[in-house]
Amino acid sequence: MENVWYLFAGFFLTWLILGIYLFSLRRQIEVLGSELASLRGEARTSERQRSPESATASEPNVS
Amino acid sequence: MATVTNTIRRPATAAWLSVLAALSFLLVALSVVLIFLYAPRDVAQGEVQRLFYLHLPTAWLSYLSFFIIFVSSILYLVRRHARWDRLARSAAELGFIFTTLVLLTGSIWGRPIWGTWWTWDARLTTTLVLWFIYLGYFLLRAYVADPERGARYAAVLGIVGFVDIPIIHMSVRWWRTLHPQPIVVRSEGPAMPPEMLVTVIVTLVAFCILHVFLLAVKYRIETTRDEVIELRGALEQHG
Repeated sequence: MENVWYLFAGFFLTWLILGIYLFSLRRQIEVLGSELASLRGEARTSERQRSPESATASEPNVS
Repeated sequence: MATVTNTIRRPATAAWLSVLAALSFLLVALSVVLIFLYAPRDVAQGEVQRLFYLHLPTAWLSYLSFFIIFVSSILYLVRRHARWDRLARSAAELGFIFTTLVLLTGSIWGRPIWGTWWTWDARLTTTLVLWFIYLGYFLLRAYVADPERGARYAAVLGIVGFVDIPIIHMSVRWWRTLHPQPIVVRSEGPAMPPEMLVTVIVTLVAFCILHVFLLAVKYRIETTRDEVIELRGALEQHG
């Protein structure tokens, strides 16, 4: 029965490592997701700035 | 798991990832029950023998991961499509994790049975070589400045490094080793009671599904990472 500590150590470390890896995947998704959203926002803003004629065409012609 | 699948944009992808996550969780839970409550106690090794049910699947999945790298690397060099490089990168990370787990569980199992944490036995040494090959794969990608060139060099390493897999598998036959001979995949059939065999099969299936889930999630992360890099480059170009 004294070897049972090795058994529990093996199981504990295995699931700890897999758990840490899952957590790190989750963090990567969060970080990349927010970075992608931010870059897409920048790209949309940059697109609008680069095409002012499309912006003025949409403004009402008030005389 | 909900956070993982919620940030994946395509509904169909998120749905099947949720199914995979739930399935792997259930099967892993079932395998733990079988390992501790159904599989009989080994007469010679006692309770510590139950580490076999973690050790074997992690070993097979480290082989599978390298096989995925091998095939993806060939396809990348032939087709030069980014998706194959992404698959290879994703499989490499998983393979590294599983190879670490093989070495860890093997070492913990070996201590009470062989009286040592490590020995330069053929099976252990060739598995350690595989771990270093995975490490070299990451270092190569990290230290080559040009990402495309890094991908090509890593693909070559992925193809050449695969030669270690059959060497690991045959090491117990070719050399005199402390490591046991195969007891599951043998020409004479598995050398274990049916309860142990059922437990091995369920645990193997559980880990395989977990591997598919982790690989799919990691692949989505690498796809997003490539999108971020591409978008960043486009924004820098247009000012």
